[in-house]
Amino acid sequence: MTLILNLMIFLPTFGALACLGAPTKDAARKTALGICVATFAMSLVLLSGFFGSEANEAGVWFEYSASWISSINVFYRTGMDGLSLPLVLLTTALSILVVLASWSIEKNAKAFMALYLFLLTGMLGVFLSLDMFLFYVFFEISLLPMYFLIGVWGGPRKEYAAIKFFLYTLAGSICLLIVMLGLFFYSGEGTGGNGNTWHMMALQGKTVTETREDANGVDQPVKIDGANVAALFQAPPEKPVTPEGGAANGAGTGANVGAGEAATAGANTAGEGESDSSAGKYWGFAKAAFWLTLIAFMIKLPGVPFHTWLPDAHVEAPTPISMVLAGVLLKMGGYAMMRITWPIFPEAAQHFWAAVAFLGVLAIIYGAFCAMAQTDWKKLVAYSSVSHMGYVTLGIAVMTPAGWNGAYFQMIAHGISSAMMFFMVGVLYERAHHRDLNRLGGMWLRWPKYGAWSLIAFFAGMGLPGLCGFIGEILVLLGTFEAAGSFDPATVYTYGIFAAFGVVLTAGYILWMFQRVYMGKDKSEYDSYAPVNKREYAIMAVMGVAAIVFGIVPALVFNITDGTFGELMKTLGVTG
Amino acid sequence: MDFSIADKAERWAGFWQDVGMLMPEICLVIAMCAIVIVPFFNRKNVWLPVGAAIAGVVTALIFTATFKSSSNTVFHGMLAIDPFSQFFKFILLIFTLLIIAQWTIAKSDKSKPVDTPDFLCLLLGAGFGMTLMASANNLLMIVVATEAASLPSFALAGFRKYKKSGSEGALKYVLFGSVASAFMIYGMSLVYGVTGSLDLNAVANAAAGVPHLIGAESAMTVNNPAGAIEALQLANAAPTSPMLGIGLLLMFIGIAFKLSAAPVHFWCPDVFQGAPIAVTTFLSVASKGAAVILLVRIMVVFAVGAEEAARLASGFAAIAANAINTGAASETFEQAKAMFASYSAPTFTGMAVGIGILGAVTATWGNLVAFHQNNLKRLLAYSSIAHSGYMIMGASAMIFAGSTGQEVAAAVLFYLLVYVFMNLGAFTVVAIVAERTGTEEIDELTGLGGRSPGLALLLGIFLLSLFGMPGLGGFLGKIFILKALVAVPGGGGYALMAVLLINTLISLYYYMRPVYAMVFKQDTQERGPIIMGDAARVVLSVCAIMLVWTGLGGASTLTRDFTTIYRPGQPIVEDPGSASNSQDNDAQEGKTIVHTIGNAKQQVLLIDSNNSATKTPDTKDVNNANNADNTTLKSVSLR
Repeated sequence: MTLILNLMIFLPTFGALACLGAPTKDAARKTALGICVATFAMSLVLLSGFFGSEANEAGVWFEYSASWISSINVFYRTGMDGLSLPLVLLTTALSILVVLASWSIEKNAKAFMALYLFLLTGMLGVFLSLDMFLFYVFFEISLLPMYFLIGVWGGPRKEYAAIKFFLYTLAGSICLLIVMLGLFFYSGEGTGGNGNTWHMMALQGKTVTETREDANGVDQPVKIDGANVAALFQAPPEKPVTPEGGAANGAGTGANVGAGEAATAGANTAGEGESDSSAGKYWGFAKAAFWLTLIAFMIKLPGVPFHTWLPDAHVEAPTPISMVLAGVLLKMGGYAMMRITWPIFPEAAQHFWAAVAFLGVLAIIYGAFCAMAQTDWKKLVAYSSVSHMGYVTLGIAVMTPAGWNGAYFQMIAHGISSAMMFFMVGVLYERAHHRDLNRLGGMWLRWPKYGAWSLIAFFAGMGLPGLCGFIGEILVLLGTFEAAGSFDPATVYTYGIFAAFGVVLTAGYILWMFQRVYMGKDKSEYDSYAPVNKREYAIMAVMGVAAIVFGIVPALVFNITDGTFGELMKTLGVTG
Repeated sequence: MDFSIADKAERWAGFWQDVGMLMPEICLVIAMCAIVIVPFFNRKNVWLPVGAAIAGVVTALIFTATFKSSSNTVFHGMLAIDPFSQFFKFILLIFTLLIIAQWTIAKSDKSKPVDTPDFLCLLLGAGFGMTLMASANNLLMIVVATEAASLPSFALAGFRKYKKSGSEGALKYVLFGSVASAFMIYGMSLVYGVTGSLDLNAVANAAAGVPHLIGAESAMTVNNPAGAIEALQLANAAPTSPMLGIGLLLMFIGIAFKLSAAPVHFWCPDVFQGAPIAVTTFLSVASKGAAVILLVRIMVVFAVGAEEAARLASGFAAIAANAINTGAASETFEQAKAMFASYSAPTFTGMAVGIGILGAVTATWGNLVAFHQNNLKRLLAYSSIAHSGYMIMGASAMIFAGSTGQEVAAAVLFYLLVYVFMNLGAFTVVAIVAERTGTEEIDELTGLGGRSPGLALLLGIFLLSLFGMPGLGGFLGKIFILKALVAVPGGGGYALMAVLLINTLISLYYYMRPVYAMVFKQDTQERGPIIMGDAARVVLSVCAIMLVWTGLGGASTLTRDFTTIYRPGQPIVEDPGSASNSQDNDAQEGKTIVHTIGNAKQQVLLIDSNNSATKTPDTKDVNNANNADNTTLKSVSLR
């Protein structure tokens, strides 16, 4: 299973090389499709592996770890849990549809497919890496193909959109890098002399096993008690703390250099002696780090006020890239919040919950109003993403089980519905070459089938009960009101009411848009448009069925995530 | 003094041993002479001088590679030969070979057969100076080495004598260089005046007040409290002497010039633009690399001086108490005791802060000015200024590093190694483009992604590595520098880390400009494809593979094996194998032992000065002593 998991990450890279060397454009497309199907099949195998071994449901499955850059304790460490599996499935499934949707791209089709497959490696790597360093590498690597995909195959202002996307997300990455390095350097004080660690699970307080070189240069497994590491970054206990950890830090670094076994042993005792008093030592750092990671991931998500790259990128990006951008890349932000920001800094998250939740509510309302004001259809859908991602931020911020489940489901649902919405826009744009809402209308009469699938797409986005968008939104709202038990009720209710109002706004802009595009009289200018073809209908059908199925049986996701979320709630200190 | 025959023989043996350590340099000099002579036999044949140069460099390379990993000084402390400098020499020689290749395969014109011997002779001369710079351990030697590196470089910069821009760059280079040298020599004369020595270690010791501390110690042991007080006052004043500060500052200006650090970097873009591409590539890497190695060495020596002062100070309390117990207790004694107790060893923080700021300013300046460069060579010139800024920042951590000094040294070496390949690659691509199109403007790259995708991909890799994309060597280099900066106490390290990260973000913009032109811009002029020759293809592929390899973690352990820097007070261990041949440790372990013995000996000396400590203690004791010593060193460096 670990082999399949790692093969799945890198198969698309090999596929990318194959695409570059493909003899014809068609061969490149078929190679890409084959690779995506294979990747999807592998993710299904992993899914079956998960259902085959429910015993270790709560932990990390199929973990693989190998020393990578031993001088700074970097490991190539991958694995999967309930938090990553559904997103991996979403990624691999969507990737097939994206390749199908980009079948009509003629310009440099080989390079397009190669870059797309390379992007797929980056996305899967982000979801599956358990080492902060590796995570960062994949997080960055996924930027590059996106930059070229937007910049080469995009619309009229593609260069501007591409560089804006790149600079924005890179600024976020630098924030993340600062935190990452800080966590790494400080972690040495909690590992009991075993040096610094990038292990995500250790930073979250789990006990993990890593290998370290001993004095003879032989790798020895060492146990790292993550509880001591994680305690460094939480609020200090009530009693005043005597700062005596300096020696342990120095010795830890010394051991890092490989100064010898004896040095390690010496630091070991020092570390143990101080493990209690060092709790909360880096609380100040943790508070800053919480915001820095939040900014990094909010840019990716995107959350207001870091969202301004998104409308540009979406408007300029070609349709399939919009699909994958909205469907998967945005989820990297939400996923990283759930994987890194909250579990590593739970107390900082508790401390700042109101501000973060405010940003979430702001995104919901602001995004919805912005969407309402658009006349560009694609921009409207882009802003709807901002609004929908606001629910994710809010759900995570309130730190209740329902909120987290809702936020997570919202990501999956948005991955289906918004990718579908962008596809719907793309289908028409390919024919009309404009997206002006005021010039469209009457599409239902022209292509009733297209209209019907669109109805599902947009109503799923709107959150109509029975479709996937509903579950996420309602759970986030429930979770928000639940938070009144742990946070200031007045604030909680205010946020809850505003977020609920967002649902009305969503209905407003979706229905108004639907009316402008699909209702009204058929227009004669549509005569020249080629009818929607079978390939397009197939893509619509797959996503439409998924939207309905996940709306009716949300347990499909929750069955996988339950165990992991139970663990996460314990990490966050949330009971119930 | 009378010299017996045996004594003379011994001296000659020592001399030849020292000469043996300098074989790489000697090979370069012989090759230079050969290059000058061979054209007398056949003026038209380019391959004669090229062959001589390659033979010389390869022999030097073999001597460097077979070097025994000991650290030692030769010729009475003039030059320090240690793994750290040896690694740099190795990189430099390989790099020189590549430069010779780059020159030889470049488009030939009429004057090439005439020019080649001159070029190669100057190139090897500059390389010779740079290898000396990497080993210089004496103020005089620093001057000689820097000049030996600079003078051929000046001529190289003006090598395209028929070109106006080349002459302009060369003139600027000469003027800047001579002023910087004048500053440096003047500064050194001040340093000499204050410290009374030209030996770098003696200078550092004097700056740390070590001679005065020893005087105070001996005065106290012979019950002379007044003398001890006077000596301590002198010791306290030594590190803060304004004359010394000015002297060091002026000396660093000379080194900053070689580093092209702001504000003495103005020569760099003009020289890079005007010089032939082989020279530009050579100067961008080799000159800066040698200066960085020299900078690190100076920092280490000063750190050792501070450690020595701290080591002496740590024994003061006992000496003072002992003196009071044995001698007559008096007011002067109590006063001396109080002074002994309150003495704190110098840390040379000011020097590190100064160099850290120098690095930060250089990096920021380079990056900001690179923003609006339209000429690729100038853009890369400013980028190289920024990169030397990063390396200077890393070097500034050296003085605080204490027992983790290896981290810093490894970081600098790794960065240099990566820097060699990314700069060589980027400049070679520019050379290919310039040769084909006649200009080096970014616009010439327009549509290159479609015209010659291979070349565009390679240039993309080099630029992204220069920027620091994860997965390529430049990223890991930056990570290692960041890790080294953690050793800097106070907020300084974090400030430098922030500067480095912000600079990285800034640099993205201008590194993406060529990429933007290559991939996004529409080529309206129907430029044809740019074909690269087979040799260029090989060089570029090697560079790209090295960047990916180092980016995936390769060489990060290799550079760690070469971090031993000569530290005075360390006994000579000729061969790591012989030091540890009684145990079944491998060679790498042996190197740790080299350190250990030095530390253990110091400890032994500290505890009991009567024990001559000539015998090598057995491993177990050494390890324990090492452990204990590490902690004491750490506490010292935290002070």
